[in-house]
Amino acid sequence: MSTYILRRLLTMIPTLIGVSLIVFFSVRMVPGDIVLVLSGTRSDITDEQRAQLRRNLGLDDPAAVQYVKWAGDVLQGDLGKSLKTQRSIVGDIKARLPVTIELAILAALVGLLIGIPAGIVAALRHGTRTELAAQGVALFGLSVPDFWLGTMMLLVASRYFGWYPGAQYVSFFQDPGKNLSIFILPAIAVGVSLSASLMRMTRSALLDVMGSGYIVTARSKGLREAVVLRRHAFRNALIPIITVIGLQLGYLLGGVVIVETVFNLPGVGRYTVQAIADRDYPVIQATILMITLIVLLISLAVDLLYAYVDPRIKYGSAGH
Amino acid sequence: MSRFVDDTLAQLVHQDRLSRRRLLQSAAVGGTALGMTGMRVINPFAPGVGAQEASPEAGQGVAGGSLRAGFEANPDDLNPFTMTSLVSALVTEQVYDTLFIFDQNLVSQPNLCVNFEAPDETTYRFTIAENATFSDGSRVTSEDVKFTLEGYKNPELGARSWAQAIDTIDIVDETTVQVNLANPFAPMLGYLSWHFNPIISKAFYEANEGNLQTVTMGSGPFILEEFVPDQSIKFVKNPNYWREGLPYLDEMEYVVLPDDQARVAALRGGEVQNSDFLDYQPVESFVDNPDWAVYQVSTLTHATTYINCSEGPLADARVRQAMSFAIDRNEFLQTSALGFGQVSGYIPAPDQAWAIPVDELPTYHTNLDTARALMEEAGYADGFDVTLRVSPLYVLDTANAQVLQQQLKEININVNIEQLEWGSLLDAWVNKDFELLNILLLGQPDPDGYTWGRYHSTSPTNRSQIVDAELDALLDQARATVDVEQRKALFVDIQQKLDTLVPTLFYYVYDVWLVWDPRFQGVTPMPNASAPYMKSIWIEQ
Repeated sequence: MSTYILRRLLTMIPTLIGVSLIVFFSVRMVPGDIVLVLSGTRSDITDEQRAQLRRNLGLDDPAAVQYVKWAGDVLQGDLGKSLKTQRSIVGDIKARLPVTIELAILAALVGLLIGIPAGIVAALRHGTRTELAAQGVALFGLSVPDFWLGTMMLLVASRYFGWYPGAQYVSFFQDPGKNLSIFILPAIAVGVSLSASLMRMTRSALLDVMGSGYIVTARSKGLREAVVLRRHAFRNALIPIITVIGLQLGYLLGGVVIVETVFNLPGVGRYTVQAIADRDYPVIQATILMITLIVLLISLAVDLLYAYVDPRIKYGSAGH
Repeated sequence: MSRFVDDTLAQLVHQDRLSRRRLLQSAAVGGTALGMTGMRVINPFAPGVGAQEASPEAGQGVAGGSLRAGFEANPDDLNPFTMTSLVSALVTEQVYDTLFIFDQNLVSQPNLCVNFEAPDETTYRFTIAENATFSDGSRVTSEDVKFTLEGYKNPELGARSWAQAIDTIDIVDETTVQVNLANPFAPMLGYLSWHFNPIISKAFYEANEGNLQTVTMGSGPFILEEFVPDQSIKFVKNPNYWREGLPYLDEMEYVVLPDDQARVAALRGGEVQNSDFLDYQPVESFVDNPDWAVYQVSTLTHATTYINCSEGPLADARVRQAMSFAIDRNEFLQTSALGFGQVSGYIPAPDQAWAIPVDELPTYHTNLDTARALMEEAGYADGFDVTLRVSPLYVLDTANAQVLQQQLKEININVNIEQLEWGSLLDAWVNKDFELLNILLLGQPDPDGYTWGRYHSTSPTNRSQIVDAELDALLDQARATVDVEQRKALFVDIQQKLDTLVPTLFYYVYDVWLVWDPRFQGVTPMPNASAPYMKSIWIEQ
């Protein structure tokens, strides 16, 4: 197992180098730079003024020189400074990652709490109105954009109940109550759409498994339906469900940009998208690299979880 | 010696700008015309409204309390020498002070500079307030003024185009500095009043080795205490502020809330007591609500289509005139901005001291027959295809593009709209890579900013690439003429000349909306996207 993990970790290195190269050069191919974006439509800014600002920011060096310098710094753990704010990117990411992780975990929890039970009910009540209702709810969750749901919840809460979850992020360790009140609406907004895909996956996976020979055997042994479901059906249906959760978690950790914006959560997604709009190259490079690493690690964790859930799956030196 | 010489600043600087009051005249909202002059509150029933007609002098307000305001974006570079963004300037103007300051009518008023002399048209002598101090308690001296102005002129630091007019700067004494210009440069005082050009402490700059991107220290009313990106910008009162009794507020916090609806919710939920909006739609629910004071403010931001005058059919002035005759600018205003604004010419209409009424611009009178005749005379009776570049970032720009596309069909000009991402559009604009290009242009501190830089053949920011010797001569003359009346006459000629050349199509200036908790007094909205009145805000007990 450890050999497998080590090999997987090593294969991440060329992926990360490839991503860094693609991101570094592709963002520079897009027209416009941070000096243009920040000066906006001020018609009084001269080309000389812009050229000086570019020199100040080191943007006048050839791209290859900039890449070598940046990559050298990254290898030493220095992601550089934001061109826009001159703040340390490591510091910014450290401040923002907990927000994104908390939103991802809470949204995943909401999704699991709604999606899995609804999926099980839909599978067990196959062909009934209950299944139809569960599928209707799932369709709603899939169709409604999370940012719309979030905005509506926010406006209804503030307009009709005079309640606003808070304009500023407070960490869980500072004030757990305030923290959860800030996250409850965005977690629901994101979790509802996540629950829809989980519900559908749980339902179809369970329906597949429920028709298997070993389920018929278990039932013929006289086991109670709940035991059949828990011990035999659900455990075997978990593999595709875990895959979906892993994929969704990777997506969520990349940041749910619009929801972060609507609820004023200073997460990684908002940071990245703003950096793209601003052409803040070092921030774009750092965050994309970090998101890539997170997705790769989640993918590894999901693969390892397969082996835990299904003992027939083994990772060894032969390589699976 | 010129009539320009005078010993009082108020007389010297654009006396007739007081007529700009009209820019803040009330407008009809929801069918209700308020019909009063001056800045107006839309909701006439909000408590304390009557007290908000003018900015209170120190002593009228009550000291203490705090304000939380919804703020649309993060500031970036806070170094006054290098900052270019409007958002940064909105933050630094609370921390730094300028030599002069615009009042609500855009008249330059004394600020750090309390006495001003002009022995001749190229010599300005500024005297700094004796009691002016930076927030660390050190005095603001002529050395700081010299250092700052030289920094703005330095091509490797500020590289400001206006500062290139400065030849040398002499220190007369500790509080008096003499600025010697190479040639007469009338816009100078306007630029020295602009919040983009504050005075910087030389000692502070040197102590920080010039790295003022994230640290600030000025002689303004507030101290920037903390900036947490995407969260908040916190200010505390400057205990050493040199204007006695100001600011009233002990603390002020700009809460960063980019989303309009989030700011609406934060206002309703009591998280913030003020926020500004570019669109009417989110503000609608606050209008006619006695719990809120809503201000409708004319701005200098003007909706524009740049025309590339260097090649193709658009190089022919008759074609450009035809385009101007063919369009109905009022329809642009009504369709794109829901009627909230006013039709504008080459100098934004609210700048009444300099802008001539649009009725006096011949091509502003829509006339399709004249337009078609001009097209025929130019040899384009059958029309041509042209591409209009626009960014979807600003809804007004794309809406204007669609109206233009419809209206130019009348003279057989087929406009293809090409949407570009904002940064790409700016790149095309700066590099003059367009046939037509829509953009919202910001206000300038002086009419020179709307004209010389945009249309002089030698200007690097002449993005329309218009070349006209007669126009150049007028622009040079206006730049060098410091007598207000003579200068006004020149700007009349310039605007009429531009109406024959049509290097850009201007449509309208639009209104913005400020929503306030009506307990906060002293709100005096500015048309130039600045908020110098924050020091005068106080809370009614």
